[in-house]
Amino acid sequence: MRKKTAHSDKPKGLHRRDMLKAAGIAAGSVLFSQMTVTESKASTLKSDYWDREFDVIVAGSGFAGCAAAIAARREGASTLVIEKMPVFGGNSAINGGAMAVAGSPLQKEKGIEDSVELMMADMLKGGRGTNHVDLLRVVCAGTAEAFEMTKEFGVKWKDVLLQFGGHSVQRTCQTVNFTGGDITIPLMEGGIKLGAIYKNRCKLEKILTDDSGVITGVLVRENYDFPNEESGVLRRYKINRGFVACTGGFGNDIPFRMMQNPTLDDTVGCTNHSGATSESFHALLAVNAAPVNTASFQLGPWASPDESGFGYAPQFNQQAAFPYGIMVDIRDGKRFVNENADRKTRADAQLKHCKDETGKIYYPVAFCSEPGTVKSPTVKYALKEGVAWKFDSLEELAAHFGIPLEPLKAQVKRFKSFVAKGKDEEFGKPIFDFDRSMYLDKPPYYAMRAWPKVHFCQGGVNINTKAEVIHMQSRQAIPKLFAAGEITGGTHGESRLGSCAIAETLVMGTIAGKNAALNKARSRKGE
Amino acid sequence: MKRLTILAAVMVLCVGAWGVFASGGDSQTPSSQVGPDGKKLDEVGYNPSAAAQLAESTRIMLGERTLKDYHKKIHQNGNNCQLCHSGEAPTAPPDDANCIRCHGTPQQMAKVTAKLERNPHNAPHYGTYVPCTTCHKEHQPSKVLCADCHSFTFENFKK
Ligand SMILES: Cc1cc2nc3c(=O)[nH]c(=O)nc-3n(C[C@H](O)[C@H](O)[C@H](O)COP(=O)(O)OP(=O)(O)OC[C@H]3O[C@@H](n4cnc5c(N)ncnc54)[C@H](O)[C@@H]3O)c2cc1C
Repeated sequence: MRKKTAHSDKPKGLHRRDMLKAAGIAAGSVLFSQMTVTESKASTLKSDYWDREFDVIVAGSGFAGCAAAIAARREGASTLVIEKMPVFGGNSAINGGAMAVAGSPLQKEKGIEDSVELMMADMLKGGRGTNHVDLLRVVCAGTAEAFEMTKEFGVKWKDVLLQFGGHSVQRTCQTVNFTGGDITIPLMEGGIKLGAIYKNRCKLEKILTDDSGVITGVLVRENYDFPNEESGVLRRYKINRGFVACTGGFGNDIPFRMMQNPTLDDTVGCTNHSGATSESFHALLAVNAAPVNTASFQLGPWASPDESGFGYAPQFNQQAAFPYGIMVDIRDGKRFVNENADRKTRADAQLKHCKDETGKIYYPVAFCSEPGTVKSPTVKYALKEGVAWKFDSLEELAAHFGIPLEPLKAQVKRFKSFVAKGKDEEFGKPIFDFDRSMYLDKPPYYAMRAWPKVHFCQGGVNINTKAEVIHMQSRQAIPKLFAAGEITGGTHGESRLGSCAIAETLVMGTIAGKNAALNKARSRKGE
Repeated sequence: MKRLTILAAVMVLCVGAWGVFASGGDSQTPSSQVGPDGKKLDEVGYNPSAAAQLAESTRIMLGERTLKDYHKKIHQNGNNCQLCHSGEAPTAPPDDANCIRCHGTPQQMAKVTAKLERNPHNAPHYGTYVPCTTCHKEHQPSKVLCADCHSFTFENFKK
């Protein structure tokens, strides 16, 4: 009864085993339903049997996957998005909704001069010069268009521009609810409306190849119940034009993380969703994808030890306390780093300064005055959850955290004088005249403790500017294999600047989806 | 399969056993594509002795499962696996369609909890697309997905 799947733009109709299942219920037969399981396992052994067939299969439903699916459908390819988790969106859905755009309408409106070159220069500086410049250029040059694309699908942006650490101008746009869900939900609905299918609880197990090594499809686990590796059933999906890996980072894969860097054990927190694990990276390596910078994990210096995961602290620290206030060592009441430096500089400084010889951690405290919290409205939730505190005087603040009062007072006075001069003489933090009213001044003060958590993987697979994955031996593009987003490496070098991941994932996701769909001619020839 | 009107006019997003897809517009997937799971169960009805057999073989396969008191009545004390799992050998989380029959659609549930400060059924990260069984579990302690990052709690959430 088994047959090869016919060439067709449409996925097949009911399958034999689906009918068996139906029959199983009808007859109430235990035997039949057990057969269902056995049979589907058996089918995976047959290399000529396919359960489904699509032109393009995208793995991962974050920004990169959503953008890829839209682009692939726009080129007329039948498109399936598989997502291993019960929920769609990965790290993107829980992200902060902050996107760097070079030359946004908002910048023009506010008279802020920016350019692709300036954004590249900032990202290169942050990346310690190790960025893959060709990828970087494509990403920066694509941000304005990607931003317009989100608006086309109904994404709503706030009327503010932010300046994250390491950026030399205000270029970061912010979604209305301060979350990437503001982007993933409309893009997913938009992709579905264009005809893509989104399938959750469907995990990529293996990229399948024929005898000559050409990619033919993927082995997936349907009905996967993360993280139970025994759950669900294996199925084979055929791919005609291209497989697009948009499976995100692996920051939450502790054993793999420790293999790369033993200091990143389970005592180090992580902001990622629980599914940010490395198995898809392994699947890519198994078909000879070249790895880049695998050990380069970015630590987020603005996270809080007082909540799990990402939580509220990053937003408060990035948009209030770090730019407009100060962060001090609780033992001496002194600043120890430019609070708006790039992430690596800040996290390295925290880890270096705020631990004693025995390894005991003294969590530093970041705080600002009330006007400084204007761009961080979610601070009200942080106060409620015990992640942030409000103090009516420096005395109260110092007493609460056990900071020596006099040095703290002196530090605050010094910082206020820098603001007055428009120049941070201690650490060179940018002070903006047009934001003068927001800087640290009078009580009440809002404070949080800040401590690094694993946040982002700069490493991943190597791609070229067409989002084709590079073979580690031949250094040529692997036919039919594309990747985009956090699963790729290179764009950000050694350290990514904040808000540049949305930019990267949307730009490269679109390129990957489009090129996979346009891959028709070549893959037909190869067959 | 349940149809949820999300986008205006003819476009309907379908959340079914075979993924989320559009029907009515330029869809690649006719609705007949979707497996027979939830829907067929209604058509074939409930056969107590066959169900008990299935439950027994599942116990042999997977071991004893814990059950929640508040569902015991409706799944006959764990003897009617099909009620939630349809015709599947119950190794996988059930399809939402089976929850929806008693509890209402995700949109309806979102209305029920709309007054809470954070609406778990319409979160800014996921909207109404979180499968019920992400948080509500029958055979293990339930845990809200929000708790992965947030410390707020929901008073009426049954563990
Ligand atoms: C809490 C948080 C806040 C952030 N805030 C910002 C911000 O404000 N601005 C910014 O620019 N960047 C931010 N970042 C970084 C940015 O969000 C991520 O880099 C980006 O979302 C990655 O997108 P992606 O599409 O590559 O991967 P993801 O969004 O992570 O999507 C990958 C998906 O693939 C799935 N997957 C993985 N393996 C498999 C498999 N084997 N089979 C099937 N599916 C699989 C995952 O479950 C996941 O859903 C933030 C990151 C975090 C964690």
